[in-house]
Amino acid sequence: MKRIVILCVEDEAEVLDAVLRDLSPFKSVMRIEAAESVDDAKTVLEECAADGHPVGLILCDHLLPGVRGVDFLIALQQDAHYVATRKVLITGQAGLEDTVRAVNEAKLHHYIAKPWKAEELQTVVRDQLTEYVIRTQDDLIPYVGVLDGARILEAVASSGRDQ
Amino acid sequence: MIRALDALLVSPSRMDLPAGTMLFRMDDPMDGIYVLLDGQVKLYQEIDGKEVIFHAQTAGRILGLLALTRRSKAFFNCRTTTPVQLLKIGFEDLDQALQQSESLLETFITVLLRSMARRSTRLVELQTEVLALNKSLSRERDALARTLRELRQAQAFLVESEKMATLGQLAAGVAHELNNPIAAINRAADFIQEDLLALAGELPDGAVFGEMLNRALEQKPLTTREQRERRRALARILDDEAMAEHLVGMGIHDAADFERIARNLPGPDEAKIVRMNRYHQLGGALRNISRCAERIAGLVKSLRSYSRSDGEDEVEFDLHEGIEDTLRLFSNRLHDVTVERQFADLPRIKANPGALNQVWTNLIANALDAMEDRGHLTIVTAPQDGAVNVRIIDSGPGIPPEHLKKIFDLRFTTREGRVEFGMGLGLSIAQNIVSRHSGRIEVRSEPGCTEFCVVLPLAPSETVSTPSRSS
Amino acid sequence: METEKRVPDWLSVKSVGLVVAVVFFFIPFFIEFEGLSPMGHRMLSVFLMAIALWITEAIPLHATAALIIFLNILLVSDRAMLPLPDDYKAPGFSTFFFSLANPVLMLFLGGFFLADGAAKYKLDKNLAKTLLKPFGEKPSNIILGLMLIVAVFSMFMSNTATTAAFMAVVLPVIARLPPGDRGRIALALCIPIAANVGGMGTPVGTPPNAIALGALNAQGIHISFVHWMAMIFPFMLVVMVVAWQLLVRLFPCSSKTITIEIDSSYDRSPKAILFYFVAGTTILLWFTEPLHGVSSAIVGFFPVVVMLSARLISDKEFHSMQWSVLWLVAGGIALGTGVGQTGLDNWLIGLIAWDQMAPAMIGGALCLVALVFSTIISNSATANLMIPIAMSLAVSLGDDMNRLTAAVFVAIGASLAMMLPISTPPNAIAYSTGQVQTKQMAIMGALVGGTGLIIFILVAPHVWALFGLLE
Repeated sequence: MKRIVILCVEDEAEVLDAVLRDLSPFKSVMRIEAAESVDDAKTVLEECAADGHPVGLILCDHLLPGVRGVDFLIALQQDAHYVATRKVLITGQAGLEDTVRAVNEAKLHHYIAKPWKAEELQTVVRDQLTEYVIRTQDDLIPYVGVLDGARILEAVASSGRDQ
Repeated sequence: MIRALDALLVSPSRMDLPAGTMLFRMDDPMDGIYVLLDGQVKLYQEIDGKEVIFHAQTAGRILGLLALTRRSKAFFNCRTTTPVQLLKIGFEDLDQALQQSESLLETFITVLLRSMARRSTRLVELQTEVLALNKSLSRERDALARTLRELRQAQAFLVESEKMATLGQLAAGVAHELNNPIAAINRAADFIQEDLLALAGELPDGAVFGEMLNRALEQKPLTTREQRERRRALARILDDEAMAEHLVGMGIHDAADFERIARNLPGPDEAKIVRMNRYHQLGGALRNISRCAERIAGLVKSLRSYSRSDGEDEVEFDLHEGIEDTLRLFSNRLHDVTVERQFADLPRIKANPGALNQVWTNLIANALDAMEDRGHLTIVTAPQDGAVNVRIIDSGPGIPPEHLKKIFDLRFTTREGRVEFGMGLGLSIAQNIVSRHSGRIEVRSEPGCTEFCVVLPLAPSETVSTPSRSS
Repeated sequence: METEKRVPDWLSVKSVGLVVAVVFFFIPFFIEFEGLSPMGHRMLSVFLMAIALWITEAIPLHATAALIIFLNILLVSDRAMLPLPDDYKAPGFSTFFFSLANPVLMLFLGGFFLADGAAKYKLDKNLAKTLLKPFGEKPSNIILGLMLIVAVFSMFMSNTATTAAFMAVVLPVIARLPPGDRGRIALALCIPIAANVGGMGTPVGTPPNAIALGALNAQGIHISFVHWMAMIFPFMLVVMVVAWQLLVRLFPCSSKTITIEIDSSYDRSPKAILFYFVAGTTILLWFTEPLHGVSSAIVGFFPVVVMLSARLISDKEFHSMQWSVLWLVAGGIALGTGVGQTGLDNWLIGLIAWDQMAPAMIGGALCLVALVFSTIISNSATANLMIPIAMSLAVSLGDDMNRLTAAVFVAIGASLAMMLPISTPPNAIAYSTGQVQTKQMAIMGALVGGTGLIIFILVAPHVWALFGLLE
């Protein structure tokens, strides 16, 4: 089965650990991948593309070695493969200018300020992925239990057919 | 002429007037001329509410000559300054008299010409006066502007210094306050670790608990790329991606290792992995707490020593410590900068450490600004006889030669032509501090290599008077 | 924990299904079956292929339907690509195309429009809110209320859409119950069960009903909307009440009260009011067919025309309708026609010595086989494959079994299959909420399915005969 990928880009191992742990409720239906730099993230994207797994959500730190998180997200927005991908910036350091740029040019969907709370992160991830699956997936039923069930069911109700 | 007039006009009326009498006003219609027989009058115009005196007439002069030529209105205001006696002759009377007497006409023309000549001389004098006045005025204006600029600079300097001083105190205070919680966190992490290991000894699956805990605590961090590679390799062997993911997450890279540890656990593989993962996560969280607490402690230490001794005491200390502290506090801007340190063995230097930290801060900030936070930063220290020098070299675009002279001027900045305070002020503060330490800053710049070299004597030769708290 | 085994792509169910379908298709070309006419062989190819494709879903269900229509035309119509035997009375090729415009489909289409309109103008939620009120707050009453309402809606709307809409309402209620409360299971299960069972209630409730009706129509047996309801609805209610009792006894709720909040209010826009009128009129006309004699298919076209003309359904909504379901039903009708015309049905029936069995047993067997099949594969596919054969069987048995009974039994059997998450989309939805385990679903599914089977096989035919519903 093709699994939707959540990609988490964060260069500090301890912070990455924490984010991944907070993402564990989604593990049963999503594939969770980590990258510690933008180059690494690009490799992950290629691997996912090779496996045929669509990338549903990118959680990206801003201050990364090499390329800035915002620039990475903007570059992704130019790529037709990742236009539908939900993009979330999770950072304590992006200035207003960068954030505005991310919203305007990368179509940033959400901004999480560090330090974050598990519940906050999970709510954002759940909402964003729900939006993603409703927009892109034909079969929504596998996601009812893990994502926003009521919203997904509303979507199913408007398109559900008997077989 | 008076006599002739007297004769001709049959003793025209003589008027005796006290001082301060207004004879006529500017633009009043004039119907004759006045001949001043005795006393003084002044002719003036009112400009911007002020009297501007053009002539001070004494006896023997004729007033109203200009009006006569224009046959109409008075050109000046005329007021007596002493008691005067004067003769007023109406234009018609004058006409009559002049027509009757050739000699009077001659005399009158002579008087008229003389009067005109006098006036013209006065005009030239006035012109010269105005020019001189103008010159002195503009001199004064320039002086004022210079003073104002200097005042403004001094004020900016003071504000900045005051701000830095307050910030320094705040930082030191916060750093101090942070020490307690950090110490408590560090200790608490240690306690948890001790207790968990003790607990592991008592539990039935304690061996696994202990092993997983220790693994997590001592785990050498893998890059995400390495983790993915290991995971893929293990998935090929196990033919099970999810299991491989869990095992690699726990730092277990081969199946035999898993078998050995899991042997002591009950239940199916899935349950074993869940259990092992829980233990491992516990250790991982503990490790992260300790590591992060250490990092915060390091930052706090730097912050404290950076902002310590904010007074004006000059103490002997190691220059490198201050540079290292400064660099550490810049760490959020150094992600994309490679920092190269070429530190020589330096003698301890007697100076104000807080003030020097600000020099490093300003120079490094300036270098980072120029490089836009990415590139190569080299810091070289070297002893020089009786002094040390610290060179801060950045790989930025360099400073054009025409700017190089102005670089220490206040408010000089090359950032996109905008006038910004930061750099100019920073550099001039740095220069100020260095010169107070009897040192100097030299700049060399070419594209890709800009060097600020700070030369500091080991001990300042004399105590330079310093504005208070501007460190 | 999910363990994912890597399966080579070429070994997936779908690719295997494709291969099997091709092999099945060619078997009758190479192997001669005794007693089967040459045309029967050709139709057997299509039939076997349809079985393979509908079971494995190697291609979408409606694609298989389209393929059947196409192959029927190419193989057994008067325009067949292969030569036709002289004694074969070939159906016109348009017969097969006409299956796409069968009156039953128009009836079904009317159902779609009403369902879409109800969802668009939130009539479903508003009615649910109003209708739930009398059931109070006692959990068992609420569950009964929910089940009855869901059943009524799924009589007119697709079971899947009804389940999804009501599950969205129930999910927050479930979340408020304490974890481990068995009431959660009851709430999560009551909706798919009610939807599956409710779907039996009207000809437009679920595709198998339409397929049965279409097959009956093709043989000149016209069943009105109310006729169907009169046959099924009372028994459906009995099954529902049994299911309700099972649910509240097996999965009692620990809370004393539960409240269902539906945040919605009646739309009073002119368009909404027009829709209420259209829906009311359509349903009224369906119910009163014996009085006015207008076919339910023609009535079904009324909401289609009005709602499209008045733009109650936008172009976009029109395009996203469940057209694939209509294709699926059409494929079944085409298959039935082909099977009947070529005599394949008689040959298939001849394979089993039916006369050894009691008529009730035969009916039971039909119903049971349909139930077992559709537990695994799509309900519509089951009905498509079985109804033509079931009806021929009824004919071959003479008076012992009515064709109507046979068709209805298969349709009912298909709807009673609800043991596994994959049995029906409503089950998949309930399972996906994570509140229900497969085992619990299997137990409830077996009990409800078993009850339904017994009631329909043992009781219903006698009642139908008594009231003259089989004439």
